[in-house]
Amino acid sequence: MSTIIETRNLTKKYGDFTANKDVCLKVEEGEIRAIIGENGAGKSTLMNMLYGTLKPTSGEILFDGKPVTFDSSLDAIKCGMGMVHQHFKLSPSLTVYENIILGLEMSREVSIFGKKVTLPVINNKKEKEAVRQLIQRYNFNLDPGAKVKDLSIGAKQRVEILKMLYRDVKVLILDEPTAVLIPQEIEELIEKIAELKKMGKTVIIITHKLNEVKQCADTISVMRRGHLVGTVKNDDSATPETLANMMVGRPVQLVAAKSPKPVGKEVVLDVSHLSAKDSYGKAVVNDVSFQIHDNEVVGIAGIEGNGQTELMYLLSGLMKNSGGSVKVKGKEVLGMWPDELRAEGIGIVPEDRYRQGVCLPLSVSFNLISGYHGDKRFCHSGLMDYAEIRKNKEKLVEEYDIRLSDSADPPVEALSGGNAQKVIIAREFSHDPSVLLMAQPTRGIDVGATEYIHDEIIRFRDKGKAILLISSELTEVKGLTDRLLVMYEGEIVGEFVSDEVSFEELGLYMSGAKRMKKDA
Amino acid sequence: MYDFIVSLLYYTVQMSTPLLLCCIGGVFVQKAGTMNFALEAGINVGAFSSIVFTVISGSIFAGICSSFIWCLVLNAVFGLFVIKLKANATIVGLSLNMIISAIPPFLLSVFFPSRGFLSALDIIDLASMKVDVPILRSIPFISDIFNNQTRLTYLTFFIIIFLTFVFYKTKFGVYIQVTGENKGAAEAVGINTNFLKWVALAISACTCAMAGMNLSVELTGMFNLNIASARGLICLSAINCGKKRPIQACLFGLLFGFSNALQVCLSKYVDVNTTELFKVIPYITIIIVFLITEIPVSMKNTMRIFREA
Repeated sequence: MSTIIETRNLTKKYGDFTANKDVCLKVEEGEIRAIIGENGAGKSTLMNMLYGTLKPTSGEILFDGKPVTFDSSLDAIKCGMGMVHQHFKLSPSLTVYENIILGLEMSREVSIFGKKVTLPVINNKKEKEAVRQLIQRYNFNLDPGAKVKDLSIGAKQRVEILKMLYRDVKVLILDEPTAVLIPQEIEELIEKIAELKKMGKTVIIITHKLNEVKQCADTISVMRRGHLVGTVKNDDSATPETLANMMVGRPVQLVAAKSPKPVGKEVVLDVSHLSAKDSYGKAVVNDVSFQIHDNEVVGIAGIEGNGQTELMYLLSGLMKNSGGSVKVKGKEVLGMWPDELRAEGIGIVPEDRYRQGVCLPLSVSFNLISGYHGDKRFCHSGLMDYAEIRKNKEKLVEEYDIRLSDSADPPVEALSGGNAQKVIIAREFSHDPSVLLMAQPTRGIDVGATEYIHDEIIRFRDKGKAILLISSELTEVKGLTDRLLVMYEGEIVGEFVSDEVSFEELGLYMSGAKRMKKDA
Repeated sequence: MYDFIVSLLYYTVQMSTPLLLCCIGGVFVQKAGTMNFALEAGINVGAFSSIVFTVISGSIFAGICSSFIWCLVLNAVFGLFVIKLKANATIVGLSLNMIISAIPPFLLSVFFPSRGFLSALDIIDLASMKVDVPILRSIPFISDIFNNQTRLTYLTFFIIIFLTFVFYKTKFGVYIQVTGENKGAAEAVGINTNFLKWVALAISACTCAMAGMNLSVELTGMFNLNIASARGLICLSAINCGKKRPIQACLFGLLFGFSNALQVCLSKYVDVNTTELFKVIPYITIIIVFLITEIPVSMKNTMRIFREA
């Protein structure tokens, strides 16, 4: 084995801020290398320098032993390096093969009087065939003629990978490849990565999900605050705990400790026979019933796309229902608008943080009161009380440890994902709701912030609150909750005491292989 | 009744010509991800410059050439602001429309006898603008509709076929589609998206010039201030109703052409006041088309505040 990529004292500075400091990375040919680190640790900066989209301030990059400088990602691709970005670079209305070949189109040729003439017309047939062979060679499950917009997220990712393989790259960089995938797709991706390794490709994975790193990587490099703090072999000594310690720089508790306080007797949230249809008339939430008591966290597990998103929409007043009832402390709240729900004491932490949770260009102080503008504290006879809004911000930033960038009141778009989520959590928790609805509260958030949010949830439960937690992270949803419901195709197919059920058992219910009989 | 239908269809073909030209070129710009509000200005510039230079030089050919040149200049200004300086396309387009609507009356009142119109009828022989096609002449009914149309009408038919082919079957067309849908995807594989936008603007400039010439040189032999009469904006809605796809956009262009023709044909049967009222027909058509295409989508939507993407 030889070293395929080497960086020597690679440094990237933005003004006074150093994003990467003296990074010396060595990647061997044919290995699977994971690069892990919290958000803002400098993983993406490093990869963008390797891929030619950023210019290093100092230091050098060696590819196959030779020093290289890339002016653009095209140079990197020519050199044999390909990258699959977290946000796919695909054109939705074009087909799979058109996307893969984009930029390298094949022209139609005709022979006129024995001379070959190239026409400025695309030879779709030949392209489709070439892509079909490519798919076959790498054994990817894809239809070359399908439109990209009809594909699942996992399939789109496969198209991106093939796009790079078509350009015959030796090194494949995957940026947060599992962030958007459902569990089965993650399994499939990990298998594919192993196959690529067998074919002699080098794979670099950037991620912060430790379980997946343990499953597929050969060696693991850890970054923290712009430094490469260490590279370890993926063996038994590298446990998720030790890796998390390296990432954060202190011992971290990966799963929050449950509280010994018993579940209360009073039913706070009572959902019965709730149903809804989507735009195509399909029942996406079908006769869902459950109750949550005070001092209780109820989790909903399930593979994404089985109605959890729609259930959250229904409960938070964003979707029309087609029957059922939702009662908070005996009062019917179904069909209320979000502001009315908040007035009834329901806190909402939505799934799509940036679409429904915060308003990105608005400042932190305004995001901390949004949804509560009419609150007497902030609004007197229709006029906003700026002094009070600022005081509220200062109090919550302090209390919830929200790390603002340099300015005192930046727009939320300047914050990292973890801090943006803390803004939402601080807003909802501080209004002391009796019911809290949370969906994917720690998606895409680093280990430190996740730990913090988990602790907050448990603390909030012990104040006598009812919490609904919808999450696709099984460890999270099983670890934090008292009871666990499994959703499959819009229905609740199983109910468990969280501590008494195994992951394997849950998996059977999540995939629809098993289901419990519904009570009449 | 037969006469009415025949003349209605004849006028549909005639009045669709500028709309179709404007649409097919506009599709490229829209698809490349730029909102080109300046289509209206393009038609005005095409119509005005072709007549002015025909009058000055005494040659129709010079008028035609200048029409292309000035439309390219117009779109170059648009491109300079929108592509090069990254200004808001809607605002730049609207301001160009305003500026262009102010220039002809100024130039006309300074250099020519009337500020409202400029006639080139002593140079242009309107009768010779219509072509008698031998093949069409012999087919009954078809002959009444398609024969004796202007040259650009026949040319439009081929331009639509050609540009649709370019749109779907050539590298350039595919790159244009990718640029509009995901600019990052194009740039990641080394496609120069700004260059593509410039080419799209040039195509649109040429088709707008032709649309303008059709209205001024071929059909009326003169320029008047109201010659474009919001056709550029109608095209914009046709392109959007057709989801930025060439054939679909042209079908909507044809529909709007039909409603124009309906207005003209019905006007013959009513008094002057009602004629004025009938001028709203094309615009009412647009509103109805929007209702028909949008209501079912919003009826089916089960979300309360926003639409699922």
